[in-house]
Parts: sequence; C-alpha cells; structure tokens
Amino acid sequence: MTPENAVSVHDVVVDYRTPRGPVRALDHTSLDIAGGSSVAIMGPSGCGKSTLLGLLAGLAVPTAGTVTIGDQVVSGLSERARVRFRRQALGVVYQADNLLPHLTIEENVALAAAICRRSSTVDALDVGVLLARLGLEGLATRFPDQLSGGQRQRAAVARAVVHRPRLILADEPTGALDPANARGVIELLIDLHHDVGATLVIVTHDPAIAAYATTRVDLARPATKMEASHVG
Amino acid sequence: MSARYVVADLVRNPRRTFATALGVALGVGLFCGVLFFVDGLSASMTQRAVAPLPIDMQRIVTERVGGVVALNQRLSTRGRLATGDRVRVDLEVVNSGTTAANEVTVRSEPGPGLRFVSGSTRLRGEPIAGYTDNPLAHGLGRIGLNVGTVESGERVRLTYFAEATRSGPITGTAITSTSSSRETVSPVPANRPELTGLAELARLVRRVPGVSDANQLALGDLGPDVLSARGVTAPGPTKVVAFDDAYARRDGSISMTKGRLSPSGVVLSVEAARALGIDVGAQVSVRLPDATTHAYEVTGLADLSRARSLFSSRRGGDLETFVYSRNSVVVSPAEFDRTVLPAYERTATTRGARLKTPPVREIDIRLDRNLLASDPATAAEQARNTGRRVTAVAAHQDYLLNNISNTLDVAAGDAAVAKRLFIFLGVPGGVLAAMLAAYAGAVLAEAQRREQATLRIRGASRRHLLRMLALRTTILTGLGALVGLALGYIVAGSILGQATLGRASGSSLVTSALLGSLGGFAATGLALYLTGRRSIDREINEDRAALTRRVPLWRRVQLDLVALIVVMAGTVLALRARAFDGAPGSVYFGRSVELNLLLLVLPVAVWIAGALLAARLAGAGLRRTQPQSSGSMGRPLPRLYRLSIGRRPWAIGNGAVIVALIVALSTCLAAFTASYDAAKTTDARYANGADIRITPSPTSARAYPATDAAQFQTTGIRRVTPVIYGLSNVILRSARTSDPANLAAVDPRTYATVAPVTDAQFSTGSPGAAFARLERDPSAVFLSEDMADFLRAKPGDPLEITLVRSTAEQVEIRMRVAGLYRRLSGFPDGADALMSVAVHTAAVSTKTPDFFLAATTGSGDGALRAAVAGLGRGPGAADRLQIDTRLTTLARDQSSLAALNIAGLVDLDSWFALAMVVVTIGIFVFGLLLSRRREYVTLRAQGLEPRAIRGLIAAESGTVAVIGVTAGLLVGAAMGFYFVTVLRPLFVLHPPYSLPLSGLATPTALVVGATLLATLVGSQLVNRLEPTELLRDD
Repeated sequence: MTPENAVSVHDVVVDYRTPRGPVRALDHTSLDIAGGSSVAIMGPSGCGKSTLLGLLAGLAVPTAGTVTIGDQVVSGLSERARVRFRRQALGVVYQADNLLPHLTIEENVALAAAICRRSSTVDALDVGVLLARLGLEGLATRFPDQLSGGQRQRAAVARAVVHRPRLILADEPTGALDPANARGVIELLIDLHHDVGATLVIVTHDPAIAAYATTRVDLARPATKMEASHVG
Repeated sequence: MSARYVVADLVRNPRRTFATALGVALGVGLFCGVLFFVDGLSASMTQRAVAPLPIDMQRIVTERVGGVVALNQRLSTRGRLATGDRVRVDLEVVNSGTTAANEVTVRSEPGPGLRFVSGSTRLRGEPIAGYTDNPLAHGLGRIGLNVGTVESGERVRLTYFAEATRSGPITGTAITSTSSSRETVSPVPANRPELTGLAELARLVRRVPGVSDANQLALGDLGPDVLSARGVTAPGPTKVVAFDDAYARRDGSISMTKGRLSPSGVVLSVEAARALGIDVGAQVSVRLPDATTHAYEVTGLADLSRARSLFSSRRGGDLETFVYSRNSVVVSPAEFDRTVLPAYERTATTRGARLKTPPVREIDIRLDRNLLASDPATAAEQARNTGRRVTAVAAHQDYLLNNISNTLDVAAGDAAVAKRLFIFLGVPGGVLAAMLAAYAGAVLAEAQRREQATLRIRGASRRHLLRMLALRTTILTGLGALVGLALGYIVAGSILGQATLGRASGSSLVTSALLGSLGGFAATGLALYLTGRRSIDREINEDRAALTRRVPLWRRVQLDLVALIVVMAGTVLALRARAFDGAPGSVYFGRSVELNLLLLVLPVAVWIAGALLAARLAGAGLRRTQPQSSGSMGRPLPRLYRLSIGRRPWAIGNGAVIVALIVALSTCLAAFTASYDAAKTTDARYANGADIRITPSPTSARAYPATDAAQFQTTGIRRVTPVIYGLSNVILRSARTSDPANLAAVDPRTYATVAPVTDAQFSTGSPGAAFARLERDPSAVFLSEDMADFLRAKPGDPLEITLVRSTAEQVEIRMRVAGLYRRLSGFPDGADALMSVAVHTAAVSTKTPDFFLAATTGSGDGALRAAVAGLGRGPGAADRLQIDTRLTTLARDQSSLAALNIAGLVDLDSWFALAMVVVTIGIFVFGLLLSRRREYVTLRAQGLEPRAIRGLIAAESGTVAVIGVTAGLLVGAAMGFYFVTVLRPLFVLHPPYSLPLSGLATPTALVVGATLLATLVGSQLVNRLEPTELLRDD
C-alpha cells in the first residue's frame, strides 16, 4: 500500500437539486481503497457510481462527508486547489475517448503531460515510448477521427497515464468497445497503473472487466460503510 | 409529436432560440425599417419640393399689345361632298384693336380629303399671282401669306377654293387657318372666341377645382431715367409692376414698408424713393415707352428686394435668374390696362419705334397644396390635370407655365432615384441578415448534430428530421419577422419622426410591412433551412471528420475571385464610359439627378470581394501558424490556440467574414454620411458665398462702406469681406465688342479667406497668385472664361469698363485682363468680371458694398447659429440686415434628392449593423461553446484552470474580431469611396471623400466590447457545465 495514493470516502452524502426537489445520489457512503490497488465499482444504473467518480476526480464536492486522496482532503479543497489536484494527481478514462478532435494522437497525449508540467516537477512518460507500448506508434500524427474506436480508447488511456497520476479513474472505459478491444484496453490500463504506481478505480457494469481489478465494490449494497473487498 | 418536440427544444434552449430569432428580427427589422423610411420620405417629398416655389402656375397672356387681330373663316358649303366637288373658303382678317397690326400673316390649308385649287386665291378680291402652289401655305415650310399692315378697324378678305379628292362629309375644321402678326407672334386659330380680360380670367381660374388662388400680374421694363420727382431723376432702369392687394397679401416676399396700394396712385420701391428723395404723399412722374409722362401720387413704399415672383426672369432658359430692379413702380392692374399697356401698344405699332422688351401679363396661380398627393409622381399628375383645366378656361389667348408640375416631375424623378438608392442602402443589410441567419443556422445545426444522431438512432427518418427542421425554422423566422416588423416601424419612426411617417399612406405602409416581413421571412428562413438541411444530409462520421477541414461553399465556388473580377471589370468599363460623371439635377431644366444606379453594383461587389478575400488570406495565414505534430506541447495554452486556429481556420474565417461585412458596411455608411454632409455644406457654402452673407436692407438709410466690414466681425465670426456685385452693373468693352456684364469687386486680401476658393476655379494661375495680382495691380481685372470668349479678350488685353452703369455716378475706367477663371462662389447668377473693391471705390466713391461675406470661427452648424445670433445682437439690433447662411441656402435648395434625409437612413442602417455585429460575435462565441463544450470540459477535467479556458475562448473570438474589424475597416473605406464616387452627381461640387474617426471607432469599440462580454459570459457558462455527465455521454 502506498499511503499517498490511498483513497478514503467517509460518510459521503450527495444531494442534487432538481425542479422536483432534491434527489440523493449518495447516502452516507464510505469507502477505503488501498493506495496502488485497483478497484472495480459496480452497481446498477442510478446507484451513484458516476457521482462517486466525480467526487474522486474533484469535479464535484459532496453535500456532506469527506473524500481524501492520500493526505489530501479533496472535498475540502478550493476550486483552484482541486484544479491543481486534477492536473497533478489524476488521470481519467471515459467511455467516450474525449480526445480533442483537432489535435493529433501524440498531441492529445502530450497535452496532458504539458498541463501537468505547469505545476509539477514529476517527469512525465515519454509520449513516443508510451504510444509504442500501446501499439499506436504509427498513428501518432493521426487525428482521432482517423482512428478506430479501440485505437482511440488506447490513446485515451495513454493520455490518462502520461503524467504519472496518483489516481486513475476509469468510467466504463470499455463500454463502447467490442470484447477483444475491451480486453486489450483493460489489460493495458491494468499494466500501466502498475507501472506508474497509481491507484485505479474502474466503474463498470461488466463483471469480466471488473474481474481485472484486485478489489470489487458493489455500490448497490445497502451497507453504509463499505470496505474494498478482494475478489478472486 | 414532432411539433411538441420542436417547441420543447426551442424552450429548453433559450439562448439558441433567442440568438437565432434575434438575428432574424434584426434582418427583417432592417428590411422593414428601410421600406418604412422610404414611405415616410416619399410622403414628405411633395411638400418639400414645392415649398420654395414662388408661383405654382403662370398663365402668360400672349396677345393684346399691338392690337387684336381676329381671323374669321367660313366655308361655302356643309354636308357631304362628292369627289371633284369644290368648296369656297372665305377668310377675313379683322383688327378690332385701337392700333394697327403689322406684318399680318394668314396661313390656311385644306385638310385630308381636300386639295387646294391652284390659282384660286384672291386677296381683297384680286387674284394673287406668282404662286404655283397654295400662297397661304407656300413651299416646304407651308409659309403663310403676309398681307401687310391691317389698320385699326380694317377688314381684309381672302378667298380660295378647295376640291374634294374623295367623297365624304365636310366639317368646319376641314380647313386649318391661323393668323399672326409682328405684335402677336403666336399663330391664332381662325374663329377663336372673344378674348377674356385678365381680371375676368383670374376670376374664372379661381373657380377651377384644385386652385386656391389666382391673381393678375403685369410687368414692364420702362428703360433708364424715366422716374422723376421734384426735378430729380432716379438713375438707372425702372420697372413697372401691376398687382392688387390680394396679390401683395398672398406673396410674403412683398413687404409694404409704408402706406398702401391704391387704384390711382403708385407704390415705389424704397430704393427708388430714396434716389428721388421723396416719401409717401409726394408726386412722381413716370415716362412710359411712348414718351408720354404721367404723374402719380406716391401712396406707399415697398421692399421688393426679395420678391422672386416679380423679378424672376420670364425668359425661357433663364428662369433661374433673379433680375432685380432697384427702381420699381407699382400701379394697380386697372391703371396698367388703362395707361401703361396702351403706351406699349402704341410703341409696338409705331413705325421706327423699337420695343425691346414687351410687357408680360399673366395670371399667377397657386394650387391648394394640401390637396396634392404626398407622392410627387401622383402630385405631378394632379397638377397636370389642374393645369389642363386651367388651360381650358378661355383658351387660345395664352400659354401656361406649369411650374409646380415641372418641379414635381423632377421631384418624382428624384424620388424614384431615391427609392432605388434607399433600397440599395437596405440591400447590404438584407444580405447581412440572410448571412447572419445562415451563420446562426450553421452553428445551430452543429449544436444539434448530436441530437439528430440520437433521433436517428431512435428511428427518426430523414423526412422526420426535415419536417422538424421546417417547423423549427418557421417558428424561429415567424417570431423574428413579427419582432422585426415592429422593430423596423419603431426605428423608422424614431429617426424620421412619427409625424413624417404618419404622412405616408396606409396602403404604402401595409405594402412595405408585407414586403419587408415576408421578404425577410423568406430570405432568413431559407438561409436557416438550407443550412440545417445540409447538416441533416451529412453522415455523422463524415461530419465529425470534416469539422476541421471543410472548406466553406463560397471558397469552393471562388466567390471572392468572381466578385473581384466584377469590381475590376466594372471599374474599367465605368471609367472608359465616363459613367461616374452623372449630371446634377435642376428644377428649371426639368431634369432629375442622373444616377447610373447600375454602378451601385460596384460598391456591393467591393464589399463582398473584400470581406471574402480577407477571409481567404486570413485562412491561409492561420493555416501557416499551426505547428507540426509533436510529442511535446511546450506551453500548452499558446500551443492549443495555434493548433485550434491553424487547423480550424474556416471557423475563424466564417465568423470574420460576417464581422468584416458588418464593420465594412458600417464604415462605408459612416464615410458616405460624412462625405455627403461635407458635400452638402460645401455646395451650400459655395452657393451662399461663405458661411454667412450679410446684405444691408434696401429700407435702411445707413451706408456700409467697404472699410466698415470689421463692424460685422462679432462673436463667432472669424473674418468679413465686402463685395460689390450686381446684375449687368457694368459694361465691358474689349477691342472687338462690348456687353453688359455682372462685375464682382472683392477685397483680394480677405475674400479668399472667407469664400470657398479652389485651384480648379481659376484657369490661369493659382487663386493665391490671382488675388495677389489684384491687390498690387490697380489695373488688373479677371474675366470668366465665357465672358473672355465672348469679348475675344485674353490675358494682357486692355479692357474698358463702365462702372455703375446707368447711374449718375457712371464712370469709365481702363483696365487690363490679368487672367481668367471658371467660376466664383457666392454668385449664383454668375460673375463675368472680378476686380478689387478698393479700385472700384477709388473710381466710384459713393458706391458701397452690396453685401458682406463672413466666415465663422467654428465649422459646425452650432457655431453658425451662434454667429448669426451674435450678429443679431450686434449690428442686426441697430439696423435691418438680411442674413443668409449656408443653412438657409440649403433649405431653399429645390433639388429634393440632395436635401434628402440620407443621414437618417444611414443611421437606421448603422444601428442595425451595429446590433448585428454584436449578435454575430455572440453567435460565434456561443457557437464555440455549443460545438466545443466537450473539448472545454475535457480540458477542465485534465486540470486546466477556468481562466485558461476563458483565455482560449477570448483568443479565438479576439482573432475573429481582429481579422473582422481590420478587414472591415479596409473594405469599408474602399466601399465608401466607390459609393461616394457613384453618388457624385447628387452634388454640384465634387464631394471630397472623408473617413471620420468616430465612424471607425464605433464599430471597432462595439466589436471589442461584444467580444469581451461574450467571452466572459461564455466562460462562465463553461464553468457551469456538468463535466461528469457531459464526458460520459457519447
């Protein structure tokens, strides 16, 4: 376990305001994830998986409770500090690749490293080497729309890890891929998270994908305090 | 279902709905506003055109002087004639006047179906020999027979035979016969009814519908030295005028300063009374043309110096000239008929006597101007109809000058030009509106790409999507058209004034409303629909791939190059055909402004070519800024910016094209307004002679010598210069010939600093050299080119000048022609010669300046009004002064086109253009947000600060603004130049092209402000986006 990568969600409540009144997305949820491990969060639609991921990413703040990454209470940070946190400590892979369409693959990856470098002394991975490892060496100067879905998602993985983040969040990273491509992408993600020493949190519906993680959490469980449970 | 979805979509996306509907509303508002503006202006054109007209119609009586000769015609038979039948034509010339008629000519010829029987003509019973054809219609010219003098009461009989060439009926008009004489030059038809007297004619004309008043007026030139009292003779020529109280009351320019008109006495002009040293109650002697002298009691004095109805020239081709006579005698119409007219008749019929200028007798008619239609063309037709009815009253003894109809014809021509001009001014706005709608449509379609893809996945067919698009377009454009219609009416009303707009007919306003709203609805709706349809027809993947590389349609069809070729070819052709040299309008020549409106295509082509070329160049330049793909990004923000603009140049280019077009239009309109205003002021200043013209009133007893000019230099007046000038005030005598001429004597030291003087006015040397020569050389005189040509005099030739001719001070001086000029400002009736006022005063010490010209310290209208007020408080309070300014001169300008409220229309265009530029920038920025929100949110998720994202948005929208404004200013300057050049004929002088800084600053500041504001609002919206949800969607 690496303490600076440990993730702790403590008694978190998230309420959304809607025209029909407040809706509770997370209700006193707690979660502890050991640093450097990989966790698959599962659960039915609407159980709060994405909300939880948003809290971990510092893109949202809980109505109550705390979210801690290492020794940083992310939920208590200012907007500026959360931006800095995302820049330095976070890598995200979504179901959609979300690559910038006017940037080449290598530029998309290099941009994440360049953004991180603005406030960090951490040495980013070499973009060329990383892309080669992901099997994209010949496609570095292509634009996203010139790649297949699987290739684009691999590029998205590269972008998520290039700046050696402490925490990698993957929200249905293989949801739009065929099984073969999905397998390839998740294996790369697992490999790379080990390489950079990051904690990996995967949100997925797919038990096969969840099986790649060392720990699995079912968010639908009624318990208010959950421990990351080892599977397999 | 589709309808509900579309409505819900429009309601849930209020910003998109609002921006698009606003774009449509502005376009339709501009369309409607321009049309309403034209309606309002057209409605005021009639009243403005006729306002300065002194006399609406004149029935000029052509007969009487020299006796009344009538021709009676009788045919020997009526009814049917068989071929070969003969008819005898009896003609009788009767002089029922009191004097003989000289050189009486009778002309008569058979009409169709009849032929003259050769040798059948008899005069006074005797056959006429020596003619092989009809002696009463002789030769190719069908010249009549001169029967010589017909004494008073004498009858002369003529007969001839005509033979039928085919069988048919014969009527009284089968033979056409007329008579004329030396005294009555116009042929008078045979069997004409009895002449109607002037008073009776006026009474009858007054009854004609549409006529508000008709009064008799008679005018006669009596020659020099005919007016005397107590042994003193008034020097110079005298004019006799006859009108009654009603005429004097109607004509505001006739000012009775003392006493009144009377049936038996006379009223004298104040100048004549002063020259004679008499007042009301004194006796005055008037010598008439037949050398008889008549004594009258002076019953009143009048200031007639501004009476255009009395002193406007009655000579054809010279109607603009104001031929003022200082010595004028007003008698009653009855006295004119009783005494003055017979004196003329006697002179006209006396052998050896010479009647140089016969008297003029006329009925001056004023129409009920309130009944005239607001549209000049309709009003002109109304005036023509009234004219026909007036002519029908006691016809054949006179002719009608339908001044008002001529004026309205010119105004109608000008109105037609103005309408086309205005519609042209509105066209770029309409084009912009359609382009703006298309741009908004493109942005909207891009934003809806994802929604459409979802709908397709859910089973919506292309037909469904097109139906929804049509519905969305209809709702948006319908809403925009309604708002635009109201907006157009409100803006036009606020610029023109509700009263002016209210004068327009209801039908024209309704037509404009329908035309503007439906036209705008169709243009903007089509632009929106076609853009959306193109988007639907594209495959989603293709769409995404093409995002960064798609070249806009205009670039694919090379529209910029086509427009450039049109500009170049059009300019060359126009220059070669001298098409830019139109003719200015003139009411007196019955000529509207000649504008080749086809040339207006050129500024539009410059506009389109310039904006598109700028976008092409910008696109090429932006593409070069993109760095090579690399695994190292360096500083991410500048790199991201360069990659974005370098790889998506057309997103910038399309936004910049719209901004450039709007800024160019705004700049062009500002340049045109400034040039137009400057030209109007220059024209008026040129006609007036300076900013202010001060003329001592003839009623004033005070003399203002040339050395007294400084006393008029009151608050707000920079300098004053004296001018001696008069119509035919001198006789110029060269070695070859002589002629009466208009001489201007000016102060060479100050004239050029007060009056507008340009190099182009002098044909030999510069104005500076000319005035320096006048100052140092007392014998120097300059001649107009026309006068020099007439006198056959050239620089260096001697010239004798009779100064103050026909006055007691008349003196002859010997001068030398120092140079020639083309024209001088301040002398609308022309100045034939120019000399120094000091030399004139040295030769005739009693002659004081006729007027003074003054220049104000400031150039604006406010400074002018302040200066006039200063004059009123100063010398104007102590004495009566006539003060004319360039503004009063402009108000008198009858050319309705030059006086048009073009500035108002330009204001209307400019406001809409400026509003559109704000909307364009807004659409660009919010379009960026719509199409790139996922990019921005991705960057946020990657740890880019909100201010960095704001910086990116600002940089891209700033690039659009900078390229758009720079190109717009340059293109607008060029477009304005073409516009001013094409509209040059609106002005007498060539208008200088001026580009006001304020005109450039306003659109620039607005674009910058709109960019900043839209960026701030836009980046706030980006920060409020929900990244977690947005980034999950695919």
